Amino acid sequence: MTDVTETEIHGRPQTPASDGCLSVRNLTTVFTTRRGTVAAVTDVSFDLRAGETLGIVGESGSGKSVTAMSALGLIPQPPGKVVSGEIWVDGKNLLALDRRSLRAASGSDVAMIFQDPMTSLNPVHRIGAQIAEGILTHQRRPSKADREAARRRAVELLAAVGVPAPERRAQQYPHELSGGMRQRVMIAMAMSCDPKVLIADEPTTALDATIQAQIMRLLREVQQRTNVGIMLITHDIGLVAQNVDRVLVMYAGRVVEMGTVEEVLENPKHPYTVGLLRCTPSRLPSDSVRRRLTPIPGLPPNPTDLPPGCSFAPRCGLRGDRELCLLEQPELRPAPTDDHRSACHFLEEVTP
Amino acid sequence: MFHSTQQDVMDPAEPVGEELLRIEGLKIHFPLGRRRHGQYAETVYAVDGVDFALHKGQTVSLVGESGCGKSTVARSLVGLVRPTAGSIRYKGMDLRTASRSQMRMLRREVQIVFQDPFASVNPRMRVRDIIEEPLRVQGLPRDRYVAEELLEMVGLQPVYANRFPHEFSGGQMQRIGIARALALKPRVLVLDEPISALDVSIQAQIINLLMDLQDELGLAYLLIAHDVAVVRAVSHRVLVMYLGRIVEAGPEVLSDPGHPYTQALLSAIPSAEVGSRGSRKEIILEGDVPSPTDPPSGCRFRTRCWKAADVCAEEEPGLLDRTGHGALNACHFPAHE
Ligand SMILES: Nc1ncnc2c1ncn2[C@@H]1O[C@H](COP(=O)(O)OP(=O)(O)OP(=O)(O)O)[C@@H](O)[C@H]1O
Ligand code: SF4
Ligand SMILES: [Mg+2]
Repeated sequence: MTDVTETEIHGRPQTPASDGCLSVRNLTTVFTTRRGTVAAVTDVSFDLRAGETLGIVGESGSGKSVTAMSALGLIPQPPGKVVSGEIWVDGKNLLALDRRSLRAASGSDVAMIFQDPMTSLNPVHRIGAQIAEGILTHQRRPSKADREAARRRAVELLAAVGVPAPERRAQQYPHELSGGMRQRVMIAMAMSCDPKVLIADEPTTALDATIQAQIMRLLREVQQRTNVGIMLITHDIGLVAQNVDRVLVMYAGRVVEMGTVEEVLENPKHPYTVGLLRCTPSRLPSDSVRRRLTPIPGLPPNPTDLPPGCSFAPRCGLRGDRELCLLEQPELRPAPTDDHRSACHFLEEVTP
Repeated sequence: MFHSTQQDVMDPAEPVGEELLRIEGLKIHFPLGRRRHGQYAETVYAVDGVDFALHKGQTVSLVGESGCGKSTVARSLVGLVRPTAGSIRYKGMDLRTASRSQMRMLRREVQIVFQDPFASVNPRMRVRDIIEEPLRVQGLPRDRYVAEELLEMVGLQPVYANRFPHEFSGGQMQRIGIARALALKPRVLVLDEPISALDVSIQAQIINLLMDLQDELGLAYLLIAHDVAVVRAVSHRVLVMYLGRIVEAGPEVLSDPGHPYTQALLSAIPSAEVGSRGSRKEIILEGDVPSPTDPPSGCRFRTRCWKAADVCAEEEPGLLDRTGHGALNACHFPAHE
C-alpha cells in the first residue's frame, strides 16, 4: 500500500495495491469528435478494495461513466480510445489483455449495472433464459445437464435478489416487470458469475424514492454476502453519504478530490466539492422556511476546449485573481493525509 | 367547508395573495384498449378526485412517485388533457363554460415549463423565434426587443437571441424555456420537473431564478418535482399524491409528515449528512405502487402500509384536518393524533 502512494506521488506508478480488487492507474481516455478531441478522463488513479463501496460523483460529462466503461473494456473504438493507463483486477492488467481475454475477464471479474436496465435486457427473451445464458457463456460446450443447472441457478439468483415468485418471474419478459424488478434482475445477472467488482452506474436514478431504497438495501445485502467491491456512480450526495466508504469527486475528466466519505463530505478540501455540497438542497436544515439555494456560478467547461491550469478556475470563488490557477494544472496531493487528497493549489485555504 | 380548511392551513406569516386557480373534484381517466359493448377493457384512473388552489405569489408543489398523476394534473391546467370530471376555475371562470375570449385569456395567463428544454423547441429555430413563438401563435404584437428583454430577465445575454438551441447547455436552454413561458405575461406558471434534467449546481441556479421571478412578478407556481429537499425549500404549500389522490397537504408536511406514505417517502430519501448514517429510522416500503387501472379499495396506500387495518380496505379516508395541526391528511390513523 505504501509503495503505491509513493509511486503515485512520483507520477509513474507500476504496481497495484495488493489489497485492491480493482486498481486503476493513470487512466486517460479520449474521444475524437467532429468538434475536436474530448479529454473524457485524464490521469485517473484509484483503488477499490474487496467488500468496499467507492462512490464517484461529479457533474454530467465529468467522466464518471467513461471511467467505468474503460474498466470494463467497453469504450467504443472509434470514436473512443484509452490512451494510457493500467486497470488491474485480480492480478491482471485488463488493458494489456487482447480483446478475447478482456471479454472473458470483464464478464466474470467485473460486472456492471446501469441506470436503464432495458438497455441491457433483451426484450424478446424470457428473464430466466437471459440469466441462464449469461451463466453459460463462461462454459465452452454446455451439456444438457449444464443448461438445466443454469436454469435452476437463474431461479435461485432471482430469489436471492428478492424477486417474489421467482419461478413464475423467470418465465416473464422484461416489459412485464416494473423498473425496480428489472433492476433486481440486472443485479441477479451481474452477480451470476461471482464478480470481484460490481460497477453500478446511476443504478437508481430512474427509480422512485421508495424503490431506490429497496435497491440500495439489496446492494448492501449482496455485498455482505459476497464481499464484492462496489463502484457506485451517482450525482446524489445523499446516496453517497449513506452508502459509500470512500469517494472520488470528478470535475472535467479529472479526480479533484478523494478520501473517506466522512472526510470528503464533512471536511471538503476542494472548492468544487464545497460548491457541490453547498448547492445540495438536502443539506439545508429541514425546517420549512423558504430560502434561496447556493448555486455554483457559471457552467462546466467545454470538454473539447478545457481552460489551461485548473479546469474549475472560471467558477472558483477561492482563486481570487491568482495567476497560478490559470497557469498550472493542480495535482492531487495530500490534504493533509495520503488518505484524503485534493487537486487545488490552495487547498490549505479551503473551508467547508 | 373545503374553502375554510384551505385558508386555515395557509402559513399565517405569509399573507395569502389573490386566488387565481381553483381545482375541485378533478378526475382524469384514460380508457385503454378497444371499446367493446360500449365498455373499455381498462381505465387508467390517473387523477381521481383532487382539490387545490393557487394564489398569487405562492408556490404549491406536487410530490409523489412516477405515475401518481402529477403531470396529468399539470397538463390539465394548460388544456393539454381534458378533465373527466370536476372543475378548473381561473379567476372564478369555469373552464367548461368559459367564452372564447375568456379561454384565450386563460391560455395566455397560465403557461407551462417542461422537464426537457430541448424536447419542446424546434432545433432549427433561433432563440428569438422560440421566445416570440407564443406571441405569434396568439396573434399578439411583438415589440422589437421583446426577446432581448426576456433573455435578460432570465439571466442570459441579450445577444443569445440570434443563436440556435444546440449552442446552449441544458441549464441555459431551461432559462430560454422560462423566457418563452414569460412572453405572454402569465400569472400562473406550471413547472413540470423543471430541474430534473439538470446538474445540481445548475438546478440551484434555476430554482433561485424562479424564486426571483416570483417575487418580482407575483407569479403563482404549481411546481412538480421529485426532489423533496428542493420542494421543501421553495414551497408555500405541498400536496403529496399517491395513485391519483392527494394523501396529505399543508405547508409543512415535508418537515412534519403525518401520513404513512409521506413518512415512507421522506425516510426513503438518503440524508446528505454522513453523521446520520445508520442512526435514522428507515422505513422501506415493500413492493411496487399498484396499477392505476385497478387501484385498491378504501385507502389506496393500504397494500404497502404497515398500519393498515380492516377499516382501510373498507372505507376511503377523506382528506381532512384530522389532528387540528392544520395539515390535511387522508389516513385513518394519522401520526401525532
Ligand atoms: N461515445 C462518445 N463519443 C464522444 N464523446 C463521448 C462519448 N462518450 C462520452 N463522451 C464524452 O466524454 C466525457 C465524459 O463523459 P461521461 O459519460 O463519462 O460523463 P458522466 O460523468 O458519466 O456524465 P453523466 O452524469 O451525464 O452520466 C463527456 O465530455 C462526454 O461528452
Ligand atoms: S486550483 Fe485555483 S482555481 Fe482551482 S480550485 Fe484551487 S483555487 Fe480554485
Ligand atoms: Mg454517466
